[in-house]
Amino acid sequence: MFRKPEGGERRATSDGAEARLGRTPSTWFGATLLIGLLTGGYVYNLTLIQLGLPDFGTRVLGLPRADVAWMMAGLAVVTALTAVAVAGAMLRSGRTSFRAKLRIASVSAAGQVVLTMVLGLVGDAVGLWAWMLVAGALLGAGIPAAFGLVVDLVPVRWRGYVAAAATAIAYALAATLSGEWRAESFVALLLPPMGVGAAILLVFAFWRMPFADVLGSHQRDARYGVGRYAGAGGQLVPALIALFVIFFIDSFGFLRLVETPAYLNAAWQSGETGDRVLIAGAHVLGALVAGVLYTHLGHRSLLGWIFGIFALVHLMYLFDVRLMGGGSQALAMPALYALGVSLYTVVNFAIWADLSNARTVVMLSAIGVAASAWTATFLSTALAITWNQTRPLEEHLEWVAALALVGLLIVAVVQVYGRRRPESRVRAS
Amino acid sequence: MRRTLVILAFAGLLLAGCGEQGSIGGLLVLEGEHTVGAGETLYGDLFVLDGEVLVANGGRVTGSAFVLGGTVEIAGSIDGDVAVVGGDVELTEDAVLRGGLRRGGGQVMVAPGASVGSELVSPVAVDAVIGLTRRAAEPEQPPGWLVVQLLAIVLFAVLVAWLAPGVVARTGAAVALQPLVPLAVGVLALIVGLSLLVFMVFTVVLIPVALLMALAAILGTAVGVVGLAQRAVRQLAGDGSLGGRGVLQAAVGTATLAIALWLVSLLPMIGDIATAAVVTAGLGSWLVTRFGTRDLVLGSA
Repeated sequence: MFRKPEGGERRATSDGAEARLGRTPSTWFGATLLIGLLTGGYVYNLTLIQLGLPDFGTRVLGLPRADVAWMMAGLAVVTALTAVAVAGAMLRSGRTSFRAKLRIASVSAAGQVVLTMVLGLVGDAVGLWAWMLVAGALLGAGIPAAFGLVVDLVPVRWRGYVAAAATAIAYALAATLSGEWRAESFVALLLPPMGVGAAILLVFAFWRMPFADVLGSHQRDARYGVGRYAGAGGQLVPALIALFVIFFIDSFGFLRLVETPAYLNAAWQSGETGDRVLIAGAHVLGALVAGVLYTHLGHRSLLGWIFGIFALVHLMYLFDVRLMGGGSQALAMPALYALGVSLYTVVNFAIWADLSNARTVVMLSAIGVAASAWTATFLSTALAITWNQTRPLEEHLEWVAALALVGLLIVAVVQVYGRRRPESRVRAS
Repeated sequence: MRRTLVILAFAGLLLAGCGEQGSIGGLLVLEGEHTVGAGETLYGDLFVLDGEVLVANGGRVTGSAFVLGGTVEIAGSIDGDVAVVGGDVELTEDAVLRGGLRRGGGQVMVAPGASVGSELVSPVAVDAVIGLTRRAAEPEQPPGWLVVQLLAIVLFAVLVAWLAPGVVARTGAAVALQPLVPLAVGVLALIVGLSLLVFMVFTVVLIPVALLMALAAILGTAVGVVGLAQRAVRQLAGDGSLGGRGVLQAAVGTATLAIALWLVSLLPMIGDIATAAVVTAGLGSWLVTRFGTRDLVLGSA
């Protein structure tokens, strides 16, 4: 199914040819388009899907919290399965061109707009189940298409920075604008920009424009179409495992923290705008730092920081629970948390295209995002539901911190004993 | 020879700091009863995790008191702050607290008549410890103090460039040729490192390790800044100038950088940002070169 880079292709490195990459209007337009696409999708996912739906199910429909959590887990499974299925269908039918991916992405976005509009009409559990299944299918279809567009829109050398920009904007918007975690607020906030964005995407995807042909030709250029790790071998599985564990740690820990009102109200749902701006600032800083490090040092350099930060922040929460009785108002902890989240989000945005070439990108992106992000979300949600009812916060945090520390240890061992393939070395002389 | 000198100098600094009146003195109380009696002076900070501590009337603590648990009665004087995260603290009517009283938890009783410099009630435990590092405003500096500071900085640069020329050269190369990478690593290291240090202080038993880490980071940052300054001189003047001598380049570069930062510091905001950027890049360059032991390697796959 996967094809090695062809003989005429070459790996894009930080050599002179790459440095001469032209900053043409099409390059800037492509990067901007992808930033808009990723940002829009991620804000939608962070706000309405992850926060708005639980609120809608429990507060508006009056469903038990556990039932809604199971629905969220179901949505994650459907998303993951659909992503892989759609990617497989795209590969089999040969629909991996820029225009095909853009059309699927635009239909997915338009579908989400319609779903968002009709959410208020859902009146019972069956309706919410149906809504979530359709949303999961649309999200899943959008994953290989949107992530696959990276090889058409962003040159390899720019991917870290583009991922950083999308992460920074998405989290800054989500953190500052979502003070009230109510489904109605999210719908009102998201519908206008989503509607405009989806309309632009649809026009661009289905209206023949010469400019689109220029973008479509990018994937045949090795500077776009061959990721920095494509053909390196042995990179996919470690990246999958690492990101799966990171997503799991984040989701498993966060799901419990947001169930603790004292922590939630002092940080992510604080009534003080300044608190949320600080968290947004931490997200932006983390994204920028990750963009630089991913671009110049590669994704492995970030894994240790990510595991280390998650271990530290969960130990801080654990310390607070054990010695202080919990409920600390300190913003240092959520800010540190935000930093870690931004670091791995940048990696997640950029790594799958960088492991791929123009043909394999839809499948590798689908597998990567489905297996790491959505499967981890499903498992952590399911486990968190059980643990919320049976285990105290302290024990929950102990396990999350332990997982993060084990991850840090493994990364440290791999860093010390793993193979290094330096592309260039800055000499002191 | 140079490595031996570096180790000896480092060990000497540590020993100097660990003396009775040094900055690393203090008392760590884990259990039992302890008293700083009348006429007695405890040099350094007082850390109480558990047990009972009495600072009797006429007793004195020259540093600050960190209370994470146990019972502390203060009838004497505390020169620094008292930070209460847990446990019970009582300031009797004879107590003299010259610094601030910071509360992040626990029970605090202040008797009428007790002298407290400032009471800052903070619900944030982490802030309480961080806040302790903020001392009162420095007294007005004597004339010529800036020159003395500059000479000390230049002397440090000369020593470092002479004792560890490779380390200085590598850190300088990393900053000069790929400045964003050291800056990014420096930002992460500062944020994570500060959080880690505070966390280690909370464990009490790791306080010495935290102090060593902080000292190493400060030293590494200083070395990184010297490296940056030396590299700047090399690039601006060319390797052939100044005889190509690293020590001289480091001295000239560091002095110029210090003066430039002092001048820029006269501008509000910009000065702070410039200084923070240089310090962060210095720390980052020291870390990305693995403490100056190897060249910066880019883009590993």
